[in-house]
Amino acid sequence: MPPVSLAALHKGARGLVAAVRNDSQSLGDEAQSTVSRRLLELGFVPGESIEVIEEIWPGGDPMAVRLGNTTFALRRREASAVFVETSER
Amino acid sequence: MTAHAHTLDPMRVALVGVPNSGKTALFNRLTGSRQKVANYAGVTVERKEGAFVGPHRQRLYRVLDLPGAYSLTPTTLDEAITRDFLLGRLADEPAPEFVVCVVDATNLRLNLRLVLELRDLGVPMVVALNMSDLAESRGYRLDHALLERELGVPVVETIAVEHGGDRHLLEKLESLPHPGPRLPAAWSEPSFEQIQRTHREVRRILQAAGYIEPLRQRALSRLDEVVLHPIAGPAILAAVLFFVFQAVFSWAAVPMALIDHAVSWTGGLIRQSLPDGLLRSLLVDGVIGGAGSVLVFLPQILILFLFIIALEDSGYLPRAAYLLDRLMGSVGLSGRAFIPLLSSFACAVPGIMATRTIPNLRDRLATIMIAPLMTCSARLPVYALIIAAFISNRPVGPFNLQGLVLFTLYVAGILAAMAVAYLLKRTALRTAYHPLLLELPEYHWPHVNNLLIGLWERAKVFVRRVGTIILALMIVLWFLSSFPTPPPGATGPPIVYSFAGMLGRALEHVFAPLGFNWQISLALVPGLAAREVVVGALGTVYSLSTSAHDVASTLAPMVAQTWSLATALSLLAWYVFAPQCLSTLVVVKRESNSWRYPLFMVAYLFALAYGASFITYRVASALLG
Amino acid sequence: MLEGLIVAIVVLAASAYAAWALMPVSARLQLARTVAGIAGGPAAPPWLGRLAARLERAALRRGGGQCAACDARPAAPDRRPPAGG
Repeated sequence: MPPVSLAALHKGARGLVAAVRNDSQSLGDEAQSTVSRRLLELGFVPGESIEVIEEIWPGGDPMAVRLGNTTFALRRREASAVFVETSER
Repeated sequence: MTAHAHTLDPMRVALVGVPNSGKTALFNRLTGSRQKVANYAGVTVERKEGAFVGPHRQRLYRVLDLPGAYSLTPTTLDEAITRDFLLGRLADEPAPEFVVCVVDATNLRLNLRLVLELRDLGVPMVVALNMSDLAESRGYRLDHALLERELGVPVVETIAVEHGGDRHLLEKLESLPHPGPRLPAAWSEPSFEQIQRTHREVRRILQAAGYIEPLRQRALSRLDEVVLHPIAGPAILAAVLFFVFQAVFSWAAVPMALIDHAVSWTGGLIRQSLPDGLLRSLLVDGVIGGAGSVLVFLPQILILFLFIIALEDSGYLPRAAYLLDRLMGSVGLSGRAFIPLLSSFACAVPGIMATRTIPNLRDRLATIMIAPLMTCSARLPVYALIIAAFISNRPVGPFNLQGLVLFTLYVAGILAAMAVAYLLKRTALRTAYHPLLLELPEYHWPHVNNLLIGLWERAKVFVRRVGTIILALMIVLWFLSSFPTPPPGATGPPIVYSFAGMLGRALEHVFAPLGFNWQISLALVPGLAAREVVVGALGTVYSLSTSAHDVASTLAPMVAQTWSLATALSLLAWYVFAPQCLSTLVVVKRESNSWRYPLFMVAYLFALAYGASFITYRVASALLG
Repeated sequence: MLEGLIVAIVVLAASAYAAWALMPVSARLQLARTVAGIAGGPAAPPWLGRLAARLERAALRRGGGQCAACDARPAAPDRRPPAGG
């Protein structure tokens, strides 16, 4: 299965991070590449386990994800830069 | 070296670490009360410096607590300062001679990447594995010697919140040679590929050091499921807030009564021992009536702070920011703005300074402009006085009417803040989208020690302020209210003829449409210096106006008798928006680097306050007859 | 008479303190420096010099945080650490 954008996942989805895209086209402006960089720095690197633990409401913003042993809150727009190889569903 | 090594150059140490690593607690542990806070030259970023001596008193260290940073590539002003300081790029700041990198032992993956980045700078460093007690009890395992070998830098364990928890660090620092001054380090922004390589290196190191990371405790995962739940989450947040406001009234009742009695008793004692005259009036009406009536509110302020500190310590606040992000987003702010805004509930000043964590300038300005609407704790005595005098202590369902009214006042402030933010974001401070990427740190039981120390500090600050500036202002007010003395044959209490009385009467013209009598109008003036002074001023003014002889405890009933409910409500409404105390204006000027913003703030708050008060008074008078 | 004197002293002290505390830091520094200037003059008594020094230190300290609820230092000026550590 091809990797899916984190933004498209819902509560309970799990997997491994496949890539972080530095794609200004999908993400907007220069601010976005800062976000991609920060995501990488925080540990959203290939191979790290990731799970969506909550959403403010299904499909809504923000969402809470568990990356390894750390929890982060982010919105779908930031999440769209992260691609995940999902495992169970 | 010689025995008095600390007459030589002290060693300049920098404390670096990601946010939530306990860096500040370690800084406090090392430096105790020997801290100096100022600003970095030219920018409004707080510079915290402290000093400590090594365990064998051989060496003096000067340590700087740098702002928390996730990486050397900055996204906020704070992080830029940290990086620039480490690289020796800040004007007037020599590069640090030594770095202590504070690392959260329960979150090594996140923290070690920064450690590697720092190591590559080549500055002599030590890694402090903080919260090592917590890590061990949760099941984390790590071979420190191996870690040290893999990293190539010394590693020590610290427990910042425990007495003596810094001793390993101190021993290690003492054992290392003084590195001497350094040239600024070279650094360039790493590429994405390099960042990923660093992460792989981190993983390799952790594996080589035998790192065992337990799964998260089920209880904590469950807790997050509830706390972050779309429905249960906000419900819990509301419940927590209700509980806090309830507690502020009910828990404080007994201590307040005690202080009240003590104050009255002192007043009575003075009245009996001194003959009638100026000195007695100064002491009874000015000092006791003025400062005493403010002192009474100490318990309530402490209870409020108890909850603020506990919530900060526990890790709950970022989760509240998560829950409120949508709400804040609807008015154009990011959920990130919640934490500085919450600090503003204690006092707008640190809340405004906390906006430095907001990367975008306009977002920051918008947050600063609405921070004062978050009811700061200095308004609490005013609210509490009026509520106690006019709102009965009736239960309403599971709540208490007084707590409910207080809650409503706070909510009113928040709603007003949101409305103002909405307007600002639509017009002057329009911004593009701003990302949210917030760490939700692990839950902690609040450290009792921390709590007690925090409360003790607050209590000291409060009593000191009452004993100094508030007392001074009350004495001045007493003077202005007692002179000139009334002409012979005058009717009415002497205060009416004094400077203060004249000023009050003049101001009354301005405030009469709001239902404020001249006493209230007058009291608002010193209230500009510090909000709670309004209560003291009312205390002095009323005490001078009457011949009743039991001061602080009669302020509430006196107010209840002489004001109408409409006036009381109108004053409450005024205070929700009240124009700022001087300290807040000064901070806003510093943080925004111009006078435009504080002036605008005064203007809009005054207008809102006047408007709200006016409407409240008219509506209340009409409804209540 | 004595009573009046005591009251007057207390009121003056309180007014001076309140004025000092409410002044912005720059104004306080000005005042401290003016006193220092006088203290350096020919006819100045020695205690004036010591007072000037204390005033200058006190001017920089927080005293600007009037609000009884917080310990913040809104008036902290930009500081230059002494060069050479």
